[in-house]
Amino acid sequence: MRKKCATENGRKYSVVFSASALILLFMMAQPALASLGGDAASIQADQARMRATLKSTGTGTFTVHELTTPTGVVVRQYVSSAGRVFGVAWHGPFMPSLPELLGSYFRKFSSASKARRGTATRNHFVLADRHLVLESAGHMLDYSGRAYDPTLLPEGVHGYDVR
Amino acid sequence: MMCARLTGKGGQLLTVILSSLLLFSCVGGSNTTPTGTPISITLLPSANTVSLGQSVVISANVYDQSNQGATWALNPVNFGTLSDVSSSSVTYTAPTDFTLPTKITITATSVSNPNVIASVQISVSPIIVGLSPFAPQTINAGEQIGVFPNVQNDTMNTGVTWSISPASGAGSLIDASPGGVTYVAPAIVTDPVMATITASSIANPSARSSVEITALSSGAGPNVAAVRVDGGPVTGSGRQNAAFTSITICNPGSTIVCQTVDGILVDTGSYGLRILQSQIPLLKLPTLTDGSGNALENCVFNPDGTFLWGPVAQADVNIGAQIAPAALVQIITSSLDQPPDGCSQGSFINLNTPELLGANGILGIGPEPTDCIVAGKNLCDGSTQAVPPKVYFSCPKNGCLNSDQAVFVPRDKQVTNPVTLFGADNNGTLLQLAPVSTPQVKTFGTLTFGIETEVNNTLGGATIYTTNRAGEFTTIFNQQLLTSSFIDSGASEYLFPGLMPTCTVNTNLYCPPGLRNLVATNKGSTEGVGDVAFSVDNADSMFASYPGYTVFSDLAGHNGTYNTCINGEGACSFVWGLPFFYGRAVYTQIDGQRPPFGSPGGPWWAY
Repeated sequence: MRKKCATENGRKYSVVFSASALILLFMMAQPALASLGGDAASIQADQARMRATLKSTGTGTFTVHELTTPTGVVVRQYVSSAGRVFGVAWHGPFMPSLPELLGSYFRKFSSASKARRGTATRNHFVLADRHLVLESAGHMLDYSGRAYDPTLLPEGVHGYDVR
Repeated sequence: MMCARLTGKGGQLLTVILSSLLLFSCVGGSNTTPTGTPISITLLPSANTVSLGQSVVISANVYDQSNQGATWALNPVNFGTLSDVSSSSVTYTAPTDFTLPTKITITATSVSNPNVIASVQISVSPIIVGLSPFAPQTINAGEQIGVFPNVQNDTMNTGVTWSISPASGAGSLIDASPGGVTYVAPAIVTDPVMATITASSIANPSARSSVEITALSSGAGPNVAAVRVDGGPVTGSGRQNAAFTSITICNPGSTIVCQTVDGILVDTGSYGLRILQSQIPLLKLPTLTDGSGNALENCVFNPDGTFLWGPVAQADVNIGAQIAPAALVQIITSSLDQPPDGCSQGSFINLNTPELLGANGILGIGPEPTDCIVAGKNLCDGSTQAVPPKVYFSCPKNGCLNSDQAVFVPRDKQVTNPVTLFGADNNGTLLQLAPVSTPQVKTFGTLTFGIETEVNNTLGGATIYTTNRAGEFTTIFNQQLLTSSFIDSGASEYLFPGLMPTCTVNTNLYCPPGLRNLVATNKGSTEGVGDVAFSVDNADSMFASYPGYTVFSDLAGHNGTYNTCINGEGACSFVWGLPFFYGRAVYTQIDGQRPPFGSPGGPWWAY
């Protein structure tokens, strides 16, 4: 249960939602978060849960929802006009919760990370396959990264638009 | 023994009276005892502490109508010997070849009634050899340095003998006496040479202590640590382009209970010392706890999904002759227990072995004072936001729950850049490595503490590059304005958003068809502009052509997508990794520390 719901503000979260609601959430295959590949319906809930400020800007083909958390981490969710999150990006003094941002894509990142050689540089990670392009880099107190699913990019939108 | 009544007098007299009557009433047994006055034994040792080889006589005053006296036993059995055994006394002689303080117990048992026993505990102190200096030192070619012993419990005053390793080629020892020795560096030094000077107790040669002294061609001193780029501590799996040094960690306040740990990564990209628990087994460092006994744990989450987890502890950190007393450090725990999900993010790996970390520890000496302060704001103490970041956790004494939440922590409990705690030479660092043009097996350099505080850390002709207060400046490269650029000795490559082909094998790195000579311009926020020439070669072919090499000056990798930095968001960072330090002296001025007279406010870089 926690693994799906852990947030920067888990305490508040469990106060807001009843235990049974959490269990229900856990039982769903996809948590109702606006993670990569998910839908945008819960962006308002994300904002409340993360105690973040929300700024949304639209370009016609997609909307960028920018959440700024109280710890200074900026998370951008790129949502297609069909309401699907095709990309996420982050920047700030701390790493965001990757399970939360990557959703069902998290496992790809997790296994690629585990497969790395022990002596590789830890402050820099690139992953590119058919369904996930991910870049994560930074040093202490300054991290940034982005991830998108190339197959979900709306027409006319490029990977580099996710930033 | 639970029924024994003990009385002491002046700490010297330990009387144990164990009457059969008491025994009967206590144990509830059915042993019969001689009638009349109960049998008792009183033990009187001539001393309660002895050093190695010393003897102590234990007399037994046995009140026993049949006058049969006592028999004697020693525990641990073979730790020293009992001699001159009589029914009323025994002589205990401590062993000579031990190094750990030990408590022994001598037990007298009544012959008339074996249920009547008395025992006495005696502390047996080993000879302990300490040295001054004890942390790794540097010295210039041809110079000398005195090394002095500090020997404890050497009751016969036999002193120490001196040795040097390697026996030849690394300088020599002169004027050796029990009171000290002088190390003379080789007259000519090209590559640095390290000598290990050892003092061994004559009374107990297994009691010994060593200090590492590295002779350099120039630039050495009490504020200088030797640095090696040699792959680090993991044999057969060397880390490329990583600078390592040795430090000595001591229990706070001690100059004896210390461990010297090599393979410490020198990292201008992080703040604070983090050390593997497995590398300091002899130390008992005090960990931070709150009023309820909860342990304060620290988490560093890396961009690749790995993390560092473990308690915050106090240690005296010695580098060269510099000391950071009671520095707060992270002990990367050896425990396999999962940390809270808030740190581990559910499934990832704590880098808690040399193999995983590629080092025995990380010396974070970047431009910030703690792992929570950036641009003068403390992000972990509650002063700037309502929610604590996932950096510090409070865990119950018996271990963390995976639901444990991050907590706010004041500055004086945060893992601290040890340079800021030095008594002098504490405003920054100077890291420089030898020039490199082709791949090499290893190379050398120095880490010098302080900027413009000694003759060996003057800025000279270096240009200062001021920053946005977060330690970042602008790099202009290939028509991109990269506004969050940084100098990170913990990164093995130049990392930038570029257009070069990705490698097939090392998919994080660039693989141009051949050597590319490039130029970028660095620009400070208020002052400092200069071009940097650098080269990028094909990482896959270099690694294939130079197996086992650890020094590659032309290594570079991806850092986001080309030309996507807009208004500070996107791929806005050129990371000047370790190759930048080859053939360059790079100064890091730490935020909040006093910059050199006449220089701009920090933090800044200079090279």
